[in-house]
Amino acid sequence: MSNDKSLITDIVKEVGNQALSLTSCQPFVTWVLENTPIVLEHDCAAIVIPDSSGAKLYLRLNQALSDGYIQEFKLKTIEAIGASMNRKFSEKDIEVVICFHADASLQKGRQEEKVEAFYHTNLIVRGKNLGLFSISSRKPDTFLVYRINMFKIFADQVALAIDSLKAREEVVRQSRIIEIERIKMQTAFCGMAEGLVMLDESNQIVLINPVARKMLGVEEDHSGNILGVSLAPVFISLSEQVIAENRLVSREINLGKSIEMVVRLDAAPAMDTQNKRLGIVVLLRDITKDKEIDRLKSEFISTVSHELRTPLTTIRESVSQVLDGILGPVTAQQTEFLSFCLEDVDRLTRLINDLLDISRFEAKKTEIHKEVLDMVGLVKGVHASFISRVAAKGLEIRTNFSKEKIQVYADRDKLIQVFTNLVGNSLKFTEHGFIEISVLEKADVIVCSVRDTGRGISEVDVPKTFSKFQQFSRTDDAGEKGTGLGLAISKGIVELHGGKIWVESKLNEGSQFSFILPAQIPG
Amino acid sequence: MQKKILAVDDDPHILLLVKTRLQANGYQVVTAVDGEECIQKLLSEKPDLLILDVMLPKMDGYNVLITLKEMRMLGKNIPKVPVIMLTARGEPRIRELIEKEDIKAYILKPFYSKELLETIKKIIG
Repeated sequence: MSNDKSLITDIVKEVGNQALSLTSCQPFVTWVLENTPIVLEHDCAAIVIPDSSGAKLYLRLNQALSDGYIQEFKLKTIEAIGASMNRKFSEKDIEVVICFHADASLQKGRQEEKVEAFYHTNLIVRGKNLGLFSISSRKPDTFLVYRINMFKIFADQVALAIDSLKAREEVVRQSRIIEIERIKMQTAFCGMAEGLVMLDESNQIVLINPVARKMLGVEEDHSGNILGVSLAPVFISLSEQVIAENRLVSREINLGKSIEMVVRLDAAPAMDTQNKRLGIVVLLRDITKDKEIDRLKSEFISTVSHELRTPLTTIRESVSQVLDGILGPVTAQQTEFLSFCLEDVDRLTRLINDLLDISRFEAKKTEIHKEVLDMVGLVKGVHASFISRVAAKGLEIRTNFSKEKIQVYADRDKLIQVFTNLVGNSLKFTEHGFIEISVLEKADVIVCSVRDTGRGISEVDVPKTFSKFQQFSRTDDAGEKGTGLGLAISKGIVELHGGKIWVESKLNEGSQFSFILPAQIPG
Repeated sequence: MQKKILAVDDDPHILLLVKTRLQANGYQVVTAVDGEECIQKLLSEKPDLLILDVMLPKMDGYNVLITLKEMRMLGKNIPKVPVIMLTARGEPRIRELIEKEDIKAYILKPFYSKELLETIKKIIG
């Protein structure tokens, strides 16, 4: 007995040493099963470690045993772990790892053997059930009290060791995940086409990728303060603005020395998961090519404009001077024909103007010059310019304002263009009745509309109304020929003002074109 | 007294047409075909009004105006002349330009002779 005690003390010490020298559970468990003291006189031992999907059962046979015996021992162990964890394990949930198996030839043809003694104990550390340790024997009454006590002491040590190994495994697993994430981030960070710089609140460079280094001319070994970098003032002012306004701030700078290089900087506040500010993140994008394309677009528009207008000027003014009789008397028929020419020169001019307007919208080159203006006054002007033409057609034109003065922050010329377009359309397509222009001030928008009692737009055509070159339901006597671009331009103008335009119409009853503009006036 | 107008355009057709139209309306017209000639004629002819194109050889229309201003700042005796810009360029900055010294009007080509004549009449009578 005293021998047995010293043996167990030794083995317990050894459990500790083994646990310290290993980093994962499996080899340790194998070692434990091999070194379970033989004084216990067991033939078979098993340790079950459950996980989220099932459990692993490590099995050690001390000698050749019949298949039936092994099966019975396994089932008893599985049943015991299920009962202790209040969880149902079926055989397929359990992965069996045989740590030692007696020679298979000895196993065959063995007489039926039965588990006569079975003992199990849970591996519990600080109230946490880590698994189960079981032993068995073919001889009844093998596990006397002193053997059971010895087994329990041994099992407690094993439990402590498994607990610390599991913690170590978790650390290893976590650090592997972190490492994989780090590699992913590093690859994205270094491989991206844009430059990326992160600054902390004291303008220290926390992160900088190779593209940003190259753009800013920052040496490989440069770290620390942004002050050493040529663009430091830009970064510092960006940082101040981002922190003060707590939003994305963009800026374009020219980095080029001998050749042009325009870089767009988008700076955003950098926050940690607790929403604590860490500094700013700046994305640097080389937009030199975009700028060049932009410049070419503008140049194209203005060249086309110039090249087309010059010959038109000559044609218009030549015809006009002949018509005006500056060069001598003109016959009635000559006058008629020359008038056709003037009409179509004017039409061609409108078409060019509209096409240029559309190109500017598409190239995002439209400049708007906003000012605080009175919509009532503006609409009265448009109204006045139409009175004679409307009267000539036997129609009426009215206005309707919600207030005597309605202020809006917008581009005067462009809004006049929109109203002129809309009223011009109404005039073209209205044979009797009236045209009404209204401006109503609502809570945060100004609603403008032009309503008529004209022929309206069919349901099928409504969705196409604001598309380019859409002309429907026109007749030959509709007056001045349009370009099919007026509504597309109106839409562009309204949208440039942050507004929205739409149409409601009923065939043969009339149309109402409406648009809204934001009502805010800058302080 | 007949008012004198200096018309500047690099397109000979347009120049001739402007000249004919203005003469038919009782104005005396002198012409120039580029920015440098414009400055010479301004100094030698002392016109009452300048009708100026923007895209001109040697010196463009705006640079002509800038040069005149600089010469005046240097103390040279350059008379101030009202200007009508007559251009084919769809300049979007119309209003800002009108606010600039000397430019009284901005007329886009192709122009309506009626508009041109009315504008001239408003400026110099």
